Amino acid sequence: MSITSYASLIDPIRARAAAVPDWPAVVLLLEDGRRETVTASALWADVLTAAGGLRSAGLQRGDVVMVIMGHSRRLITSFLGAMALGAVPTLVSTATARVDLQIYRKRIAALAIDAGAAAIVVNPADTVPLQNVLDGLEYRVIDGTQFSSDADPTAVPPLPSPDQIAFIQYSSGSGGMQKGVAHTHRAVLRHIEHKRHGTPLTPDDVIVNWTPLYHDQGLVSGLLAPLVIGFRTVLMSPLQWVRHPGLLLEAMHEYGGTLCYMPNFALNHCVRAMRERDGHNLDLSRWRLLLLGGEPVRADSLEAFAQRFAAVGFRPAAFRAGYGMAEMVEGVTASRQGPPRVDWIDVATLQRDGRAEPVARHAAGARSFVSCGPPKEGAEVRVVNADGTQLPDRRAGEIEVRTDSMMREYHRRPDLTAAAFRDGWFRSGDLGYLAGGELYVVGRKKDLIISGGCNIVPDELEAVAEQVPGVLPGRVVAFGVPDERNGTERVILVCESAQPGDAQHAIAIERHLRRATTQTLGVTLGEVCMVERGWIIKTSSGKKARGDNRDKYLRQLRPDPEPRQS
Amino acid sequence: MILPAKPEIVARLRAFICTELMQHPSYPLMDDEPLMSGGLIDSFSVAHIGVFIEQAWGVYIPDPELTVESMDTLNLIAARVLRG
Repeated sequence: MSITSYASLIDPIRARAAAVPDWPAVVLLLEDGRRETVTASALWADVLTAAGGLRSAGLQRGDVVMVIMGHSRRLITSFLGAMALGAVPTLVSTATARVDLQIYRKRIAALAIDAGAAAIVVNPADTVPLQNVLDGLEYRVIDGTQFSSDADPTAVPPLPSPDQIAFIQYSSGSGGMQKGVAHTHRAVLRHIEHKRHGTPLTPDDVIVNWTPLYHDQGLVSGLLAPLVIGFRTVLMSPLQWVRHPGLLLEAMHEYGGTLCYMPNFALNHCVRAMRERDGHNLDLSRWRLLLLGGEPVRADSLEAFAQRFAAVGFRPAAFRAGYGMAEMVEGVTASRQGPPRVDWIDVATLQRDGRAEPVARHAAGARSFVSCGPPKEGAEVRVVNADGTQLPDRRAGEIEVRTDSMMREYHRRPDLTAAAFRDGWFRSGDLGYLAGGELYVVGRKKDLIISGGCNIVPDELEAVAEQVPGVLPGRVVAFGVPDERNGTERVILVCESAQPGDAQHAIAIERHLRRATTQTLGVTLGEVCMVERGWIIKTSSGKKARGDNRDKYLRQLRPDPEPRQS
Repeated sequence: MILPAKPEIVARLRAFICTELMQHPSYPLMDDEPLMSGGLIDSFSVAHIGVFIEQAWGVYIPDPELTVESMDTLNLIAARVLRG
């Protein structure tokens, strides 16, 4: 049966419960070391229970439900249960021990208003229990562990129809900067069908996933695609993976994992933070595809990972690189067959003329970009200049995409929707070029920082920094610089100070800034630079020129210039 | 392996954290200064600290203990190393 003949994402879950009730659909690796296998029939029963529980709590079709729970079976079943009821779930990250709970509460309240949420589902057993933190606001707070299991499995609610909104995916950013992408069942199913056919994915695959389900990659590749296509997913806690990346490889070995999706920095984390004792006796030879997306892929990260795990059977041919965004459900392009191409170009020609001129790998001024592959089925990609004219091959400009499963609008934000499209094409804000039909991403038009797979909005960092005593208002700038060691971007904050020579004063301000950005935004600053007044470059209209300040930092302040990317 | 005294453990941890993780060797890191909740290092760094401790002193700290709460200052980490 073709995936697109399902009416909703819930239909295949129901169908599999009837056809193969004992099939182990989901394996959860829990933080306390327990493993939980959820069969197709148990999953369906849980989904019905959650749907019934949410209905008893007064929720109905079309209501937006925020699900804020840590890694658990309940997280998955609350999300799917809301969908089965015809409500519109959105997954949101839980509070961590590092954030200020009052600030977290404000962020959630702002998001709830933005989303028009009717309820928030929480888990009182989470590390930071949210019930009391979130209580007393406009929405209902529901304990997702208390849905009673006496729901009648034959009393199936009317399942969602294809053009109903399936879920909302929120992008990073806080307050007014959050964008909620609403997708219909039809669009997500179509995306998964292309993914199944193009990747290809089969019922014999096994995915091991650590990426958070509140991100598009985790949700679509780690949960929905396996459930719809019918292959097993092994889900681990993102927080646990951060502490112990070796667990991912152990799970790939133990469950015969064939697939894994992750952002580039995760390669470096596996190489650098895995204990010696965890790396032995693994057999990774069944690992068929390691798909990288979410941040630019770096050739040195691929090489380091391949080298480190070659002895236990990992093959570089498994690497794939892709490019995508939540607005298109997930991936738009993906490399095919074998490791992605690496293009060596002259960086000065790129910066000066916007041309990607091929050069030899060891030529002076050569820089590598890893191919994100050609557009997937149902997707088109073009590169345009500032007035929207399409550019030829090897000319860099803004990447515009359109797919047959792209979003129609941002949830309740017609202003953002209008700005996001040009003649039916989605303006990504990313810069890149096409060569031989494949996409290479070279940078961003917008000043976003991508660090550790998370999008960080510099304006938010600067706004928090300006609240810190001793920081001069309007005299602080944030940007990202390449972090070769960790395979991602490092967040830099440059602040003008009234007393730049006073080391004690500078350290006191730095401490305050680091604490503030962590507790408010969950962002760890890579480096804080205190500089004299007048250091920060502004445009003639008084705006901060982040790109120019970044270049000035790299020339003047970078403590230990690392060799160029290789 | 015989473990050194606490001040030596703290000193080596300090050097590792400031130089390798913060990439800021001259940072005046205090023994009780919050590392992760203070925004000096991110949560990924705690895995690196685990690797470092095992290499330096042969002490294996299982991942459930590698949390912000139990590893947030030099004093807390050193005390955990000394428990072996």
